[in-house]
Amino acid sequence: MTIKAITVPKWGLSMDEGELIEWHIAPGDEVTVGQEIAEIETSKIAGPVEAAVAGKVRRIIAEEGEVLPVGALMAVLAEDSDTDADIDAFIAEFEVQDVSDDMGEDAGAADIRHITLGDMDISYQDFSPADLSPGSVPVVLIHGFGGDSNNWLFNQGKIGETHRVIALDLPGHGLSTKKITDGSIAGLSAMVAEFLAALDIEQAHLVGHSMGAAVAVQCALAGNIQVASLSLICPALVGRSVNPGYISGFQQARTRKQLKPVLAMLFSNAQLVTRELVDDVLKYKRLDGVGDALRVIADKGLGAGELPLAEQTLMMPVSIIWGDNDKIINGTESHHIKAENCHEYVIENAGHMPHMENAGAVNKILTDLFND
Amino acid sequence: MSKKTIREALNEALRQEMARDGQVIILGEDVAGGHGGTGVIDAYGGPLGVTKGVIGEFGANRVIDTPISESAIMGAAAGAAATGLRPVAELMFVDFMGVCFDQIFNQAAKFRYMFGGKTKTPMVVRTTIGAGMRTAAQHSQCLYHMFTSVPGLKCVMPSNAYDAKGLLIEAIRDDDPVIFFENKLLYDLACDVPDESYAIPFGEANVVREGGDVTIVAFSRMVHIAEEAAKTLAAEGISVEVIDPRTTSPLDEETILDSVEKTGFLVVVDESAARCGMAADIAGLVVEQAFDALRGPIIQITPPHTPVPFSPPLEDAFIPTAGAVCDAIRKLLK
Repeated sequence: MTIKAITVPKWGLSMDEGELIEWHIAPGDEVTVGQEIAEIETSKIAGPVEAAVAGKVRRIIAEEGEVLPVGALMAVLAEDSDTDADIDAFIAEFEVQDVSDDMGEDAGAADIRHITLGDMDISYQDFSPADLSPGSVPVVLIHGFGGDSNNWLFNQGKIGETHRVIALDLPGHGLSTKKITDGSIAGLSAMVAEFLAALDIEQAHLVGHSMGAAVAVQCALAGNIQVASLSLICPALVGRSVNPGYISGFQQARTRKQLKPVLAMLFSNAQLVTRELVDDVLKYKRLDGVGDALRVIADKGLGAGELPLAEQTLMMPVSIIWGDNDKIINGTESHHIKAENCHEYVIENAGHMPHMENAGAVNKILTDLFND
Repeated sequence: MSKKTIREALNEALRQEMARDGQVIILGEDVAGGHGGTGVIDAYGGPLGVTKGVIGEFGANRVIDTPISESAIMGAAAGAAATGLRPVAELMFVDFMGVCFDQIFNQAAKFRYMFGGKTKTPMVVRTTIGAGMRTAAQHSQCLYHMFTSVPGLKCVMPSNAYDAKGLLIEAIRDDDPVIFFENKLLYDLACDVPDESYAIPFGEANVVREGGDVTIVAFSRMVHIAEEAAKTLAAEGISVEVIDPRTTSPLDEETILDSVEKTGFLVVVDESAARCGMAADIAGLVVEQAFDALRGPIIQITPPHTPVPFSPPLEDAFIPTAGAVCDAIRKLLK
């Protein structure tokens, strides 16, 4: 039998359902692997659904506007030789499986963990595939200024197919301690090294976004952990300036109306900034201590003089990923990274968040590097 | 982050602020287990259980049972605030405020103004509002509109547990008298509430739901009535924007006006009063400042101009319903 299911993808640990905004396919269409077939909106962000399988669309199950749990059947692909009765049977059977499938809230919630480092409580999401190969090097995801581990919503699942993947909340961010004493890049990098040591991780693939990329570079330069590879997404590095309007706007915005245009600067497609995303960021910004933490980091860690400048040549493989429409960090100057084995990529139709806006392309670059 | 009821969220806000600031005290009827009682840990916690257990953590010096004398509670709170404490006074029903209008309207609300800004009055009055509890005419009113009309008072009415915690923390940290209205029927309503402290600024409306066809402004429990109506109407192809101002003083006029500029239609769902209530106030604002945007009459959905009935069928008929909101909007857009 050649009947295949298109299901609601799970974008990160915190996603348990999504609203189908729009179908890009209709019955009779031929679908190829990787084709964008629909638009789904989660509580965090809207994103395209890419077909994981190829074939001819025989049945559209999900309706536009419908809120569907992760794993729910959206459409059915099949050959012409498959009868309607076969497809009906497939759908009937699929629904039974879906009910028994345990991908509910608990599965995601269980993976949010905490660890105490001195007087800091660090929150992180930790996921390992069931068939993790021994000796596989874990992947550590480091978010940027004002972000959190949920920024990796669209990447954790794909990376997690083959690697243990850990996304932490830097101090002052997400669910981690908001009090931050050393907001410099060196301080944050020392904290990441301490965090990984506490998890008994000696070697890791580091993936950093924006300020998190500067932290990752600093880890590699300081040598306080063994960095197997370095992936830098829209990195804040010496040579490329960080848009000061974003940093101050993000800190100052107190209302939804003030915050929305600031968040829109992150994306190539401003439509991706949903009401829920703005609300989530506002809720974060209202927490006691966040304002002070952001100020400490903005004053220290993001001051250009504090960004790491690679005097020494990095020996591990390095991938640098830019968005072609980045409004936060742009410019064409050299980024001052010296590496033996460095590849640069520019992701099309992406702003400062290519790992969200074009997760498929970024995931491919990342997994190719890890599996090399 | 975990799901908490409004009651739990308020309790957590009180404990966190009392732990953060030694000047914060609580006073009211039965807040510590009854006047003259020993104030044990499993105290009564006020008539609605919001302060339960607080005395066990902070002691009887900071959680004070009062006699049944509303004017004394409010007078003591206003005086304590003037001396630098941050009292949170509880008055079980807003209906009883009548006997302490002088302490609130003429004293607390006026101190900062009449002393030329040389004094602060950081007091919070927590009180309950709302019909639907079968508690009859003297325990069921929604008098927030009266306090809103008095300059010098800030008026807050959360509709969910997240807002309840953040607004109460903001109220305690605010240097002016804040009247904090809790709807009796919402205490067990739960949603995700961060374990950490946070403050929600006053004067910032929450856009509960975005829509393009009609704007509903609703307060306290009426936000849920409006949301229910919006869901029903969405199935009919009518897209409703629901705005919860969260505070009526200060009022986020901009969010309301922007929304009406977009939709052209306004419905206000307000349990306070048919005459001189918040609905009339919002309608006046929009007529004055966004008249050209209006494409139809402003609809005010309020209870009738009558005391809250004790008869259950009459009380149910008294409170605005989602059905009434839907009918009004269908007629408006026809």
